[in-house]
Amino acid sequence: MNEDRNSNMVSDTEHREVEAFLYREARLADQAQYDEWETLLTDDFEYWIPNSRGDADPKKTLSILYDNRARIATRIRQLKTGVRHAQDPASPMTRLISNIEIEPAEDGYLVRSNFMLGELQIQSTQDFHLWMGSLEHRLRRVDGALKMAGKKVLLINAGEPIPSLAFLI
Amino acid sequence: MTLHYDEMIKDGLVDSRVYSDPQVFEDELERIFYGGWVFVAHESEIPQRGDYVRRNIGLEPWVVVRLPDGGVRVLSNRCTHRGTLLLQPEKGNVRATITCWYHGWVFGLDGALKAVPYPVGSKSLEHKSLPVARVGNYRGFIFATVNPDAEDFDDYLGRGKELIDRAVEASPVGKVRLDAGWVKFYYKTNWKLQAENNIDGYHLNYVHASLGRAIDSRYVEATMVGETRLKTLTRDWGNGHSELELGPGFENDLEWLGYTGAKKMPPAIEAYRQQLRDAYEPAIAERMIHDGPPHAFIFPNLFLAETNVVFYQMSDAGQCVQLHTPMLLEGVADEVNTRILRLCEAALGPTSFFLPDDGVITERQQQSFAGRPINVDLRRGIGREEINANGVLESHITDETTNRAFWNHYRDVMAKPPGRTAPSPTAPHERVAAE
Repeated sequence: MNEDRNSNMVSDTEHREVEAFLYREARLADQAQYDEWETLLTDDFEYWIPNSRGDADPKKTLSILYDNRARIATRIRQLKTGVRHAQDPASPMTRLISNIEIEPAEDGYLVRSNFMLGELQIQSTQDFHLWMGSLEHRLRRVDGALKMAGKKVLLINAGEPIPSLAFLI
Repeated sequence: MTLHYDEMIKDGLVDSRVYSDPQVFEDELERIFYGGWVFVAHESEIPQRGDYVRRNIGLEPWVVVRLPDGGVRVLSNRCTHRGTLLLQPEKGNVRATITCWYHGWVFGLDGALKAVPYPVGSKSLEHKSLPVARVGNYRGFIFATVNPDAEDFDDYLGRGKELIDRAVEASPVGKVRLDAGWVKFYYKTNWKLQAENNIDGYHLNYVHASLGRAIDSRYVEATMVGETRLKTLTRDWGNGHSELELGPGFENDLEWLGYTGAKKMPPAIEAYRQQLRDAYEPAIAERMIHDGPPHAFIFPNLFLAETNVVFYQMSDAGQCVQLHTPMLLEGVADEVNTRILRLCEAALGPTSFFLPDDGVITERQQQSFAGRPINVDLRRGIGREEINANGVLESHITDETTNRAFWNHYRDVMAKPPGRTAPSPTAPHERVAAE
């Protein structure tokens, strides 16, 4: 089946807007700007890191992380207490986003990308960790602005032993 | 160098070399992990014949496999020819035989060598069956030992059975499922720092300060109020098994499932409460409804973490992995298990609200053990412990009774005279197979 990708293309303007959103989201997460990051979320935002590389049903299998909007709010409140030892101080980190593919979806976009994130676990071991995988952002236009309705992080090493992951990946 | 464990672990003081010295790690492998019983898997992980999961015993590769007759066998995962791993995926199904992909040796699920290619040229195949471990199964929890001379399984588990009973009785039909997958959390610490931390009731105000401030946690009342108001307890169940009793801190039914009384229970949860009342005699049912399944440690590597199950694997003195899964219940509505699944993600693992903080604190502890040894002080509560009506040593939740339970047993096992260790699993195992 040859799907006609062209019929699914978004305009250059849309592409630039979506790309700018992803970069901004990445920068705010890298810099531990939790409040600003939280303004990017819709009220029904869902944040998911499956525990496997294949298909998984989060209703039936354990995830590395599966937050609804209330739980991500708690996560951010915890990070902001100043005594979340696992992120006190916040890990210095930089992530690169690339291979961005955008599909129009109902009232927004489904955006697939790849990421590479270097993190220094400054709170204890001083080890440098390389996190890598692909992302699926569900973006929705709310009152004219793009918001994030879902973020799925598919780690290459999902299912393997992983160190502390208390930051926003 | 011979280490004298009865000197290194004494009166609640622990020589920090037990967490960092490679010689100690070697001794632990021989005396604890190859010398005694360890938790390996749960029956529900291998429901169909031929289903298997890979598990390490100490550092060595084993598989837990479901036999055609419904039994469970724990087999070495090393080909007896040249040692190649027989099964590489961490779980799967092998049907009736296991074939080595190096030279094609074929083993039965009972471990017997069934065939080799070009057999005319092969010599001395009579002792080439796969080593088989002894297996103990208590209510679906599978333990194994590679030591034919290890004590009886019942003697090892001792009163740990009561703790497992209280875990599985969270299900109205007395059955749990550990089949939602394991998340694996890597710590750059000795495995015993995690074992210690998991049954430590003294650290919550500090390690978990951020959670106390971020949410109205059930743990706040259970563990984070003033010393004299705390009604929760530590217990030493013998054989290295221990417990934090969090129940007295709960005010409402099923608070351990997250119901604080602030909101009305959903019908499915109310129905679950009724199921427990219908299934068990009142004392058992009401204790479960109020206290929940236990927060308990079974020596040396199983942690019954309320509605979760945890075990450890280690690679050297300074690194370990803690694996966790939700303890799903048979015979209940899906809503109850979904709840347990979400609680598991909140409490355990590298992204959770609790464990990353325990992780960095214990990693800082591990780093401090470089250099000359210090004494780790686990004496809190000595002198105010009491034997309760159930014959179990009990004390205040913040007392290090649980840690001493672990260390006293560890010392007894480690200080055993040399010569009582397990044979290498490459040695003939006819005695084991005969059992």
